[in-house]
Amino acid sequence: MTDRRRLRYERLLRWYPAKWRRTNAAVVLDTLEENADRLGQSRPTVGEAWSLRAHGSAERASPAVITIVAALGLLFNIGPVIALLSGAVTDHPWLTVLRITAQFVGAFLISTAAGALLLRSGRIIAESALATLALSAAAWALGAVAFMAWGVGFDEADPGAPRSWFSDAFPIFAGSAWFLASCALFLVAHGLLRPLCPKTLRIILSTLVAVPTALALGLSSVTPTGTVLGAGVVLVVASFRLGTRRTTTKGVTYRRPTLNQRQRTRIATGAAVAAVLGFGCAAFALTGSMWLPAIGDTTDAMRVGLLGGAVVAIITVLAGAEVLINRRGHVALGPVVFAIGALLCVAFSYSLSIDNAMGWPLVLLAAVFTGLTGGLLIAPALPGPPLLRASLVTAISVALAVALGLFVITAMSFIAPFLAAILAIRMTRRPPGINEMRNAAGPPRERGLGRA
Amino acid sequence: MSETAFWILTALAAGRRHGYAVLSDVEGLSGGRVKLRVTTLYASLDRLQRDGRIRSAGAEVVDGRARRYYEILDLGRDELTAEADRLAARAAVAVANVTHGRPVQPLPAVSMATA
Repeated sequence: MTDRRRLRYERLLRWYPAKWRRTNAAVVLDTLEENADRLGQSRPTVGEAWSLRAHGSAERASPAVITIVAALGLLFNIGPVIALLSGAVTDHPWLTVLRITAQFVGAFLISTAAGALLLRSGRIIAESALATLALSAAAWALGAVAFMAWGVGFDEADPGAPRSWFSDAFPIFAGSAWFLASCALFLVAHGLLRPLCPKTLRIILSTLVAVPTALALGLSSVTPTGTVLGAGVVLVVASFRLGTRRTTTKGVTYRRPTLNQRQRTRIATGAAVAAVLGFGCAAFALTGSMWLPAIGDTTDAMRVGLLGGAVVAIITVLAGAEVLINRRGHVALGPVVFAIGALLCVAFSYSLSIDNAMGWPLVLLAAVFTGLTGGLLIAPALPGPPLLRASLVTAISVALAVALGLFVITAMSFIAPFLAAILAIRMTRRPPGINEMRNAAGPPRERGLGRA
Repeated sequence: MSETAFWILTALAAGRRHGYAVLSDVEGLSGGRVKLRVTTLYASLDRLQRDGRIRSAGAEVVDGRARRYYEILDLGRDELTAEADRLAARAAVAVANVTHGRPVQPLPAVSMATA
């Protein structure tokens, strides 16, 4: 009987990766046996067997695996995003099925990587993680089917044709996906709220968190951009939280701001001018056609305003660059160059006629440059060897370009004046580094600013 | 700090222990309230080891059974002390209020006619 029990435990331990088994299997197996002897068990209990399966699967979620899964999720979503942005979306049913499948497989992979991060940090237990994985797989699959059914129903509604059973079943698919996703998120929330002692309160709160979050995730997954941003966040967290060794980058220095008064005045002046001009351009974009009819219609005024705003925003970037380079050294040059490149692309696209074929590709290029700006800004803080960091910067840049780049850069004419105003105000205020430097030098001995 | 980590560190704070001894100690110290599975025990031990709170302290075979020993590190001891202080401070406040607090007086009945 004991030999059969041991054999069963050995079989269950095969759920663990081979590397783990080589180091730990003998010790864990003997502990399982000792525990079973004490409890008088002749075989592994059902709970014990599932626990071994869950922990064995969880052990496979190594940092490298999580990063790869998140990167794969990102890759799966890049195709649908490019198809959407480039206008290559066709009405061919199989291509639509392929695009939606890629989009939802990507979303499943990214949510799995996020769950694995919580598992590794000990915030959710392995048994819950395994159940969450199964539930989320089913939820994402049903979500994809619901999305397809909705698309079919939309197509059927146009010519007024009778609706098929598939499109009629949309509420059932969507409702089932919502229910399963709520169950999956309930388990996650229940694990995260573990310190909350009263069980009833924990269950109520977990439900209140899970149900709307599942709905929000489902709605946001209709377009792949939100999922891509999620992949970027998971990749950054994975690289920071999973114990990768931090490496220093040559030339990166994080020192206290040493801007002298002359530099501060110059930056403040430049930012103030950019703010005034930027607000002027924004106002012109919104109202120009009303008080300057010669400019054309509302669209023409908007394009001229956006063109001027993009050019003026370059002054804001240059003013900000002086602060950034002063703090971080020459590694800040890359993001500055790409930011200026993005603004020039936008300005150039608005200088062309509205039906010029080059207009949209230029905006897309600007979005790519915006993503690279964000990626390169984060780059010095990323841990790991150069190859891993380069891959992370690429992935983060792609995620930012796809998810935010297009919206941020096209709206930059309206955002930049506010940024310029903030920069101007900060530069006219007293430098925050003075007190820190004084504290670092020791307590004030004489009457002075510190005592006053 | 999770309850599992708290009890494992508490067990190891008394000295070097092997996995099964930690399992038994946790059950005993918590008055049978916390019963760890072997899988949960080793997953928690791995995590505590990875975080630098405990370390592996040798292995041996006793009565034909492989045993790996663990011991608490300074970081784990400091965190356990801080957690114990926090729980003690909370308990002290509760005890003080229960001991010195006045019992709640029943409210006087108010007649609607006089109001």
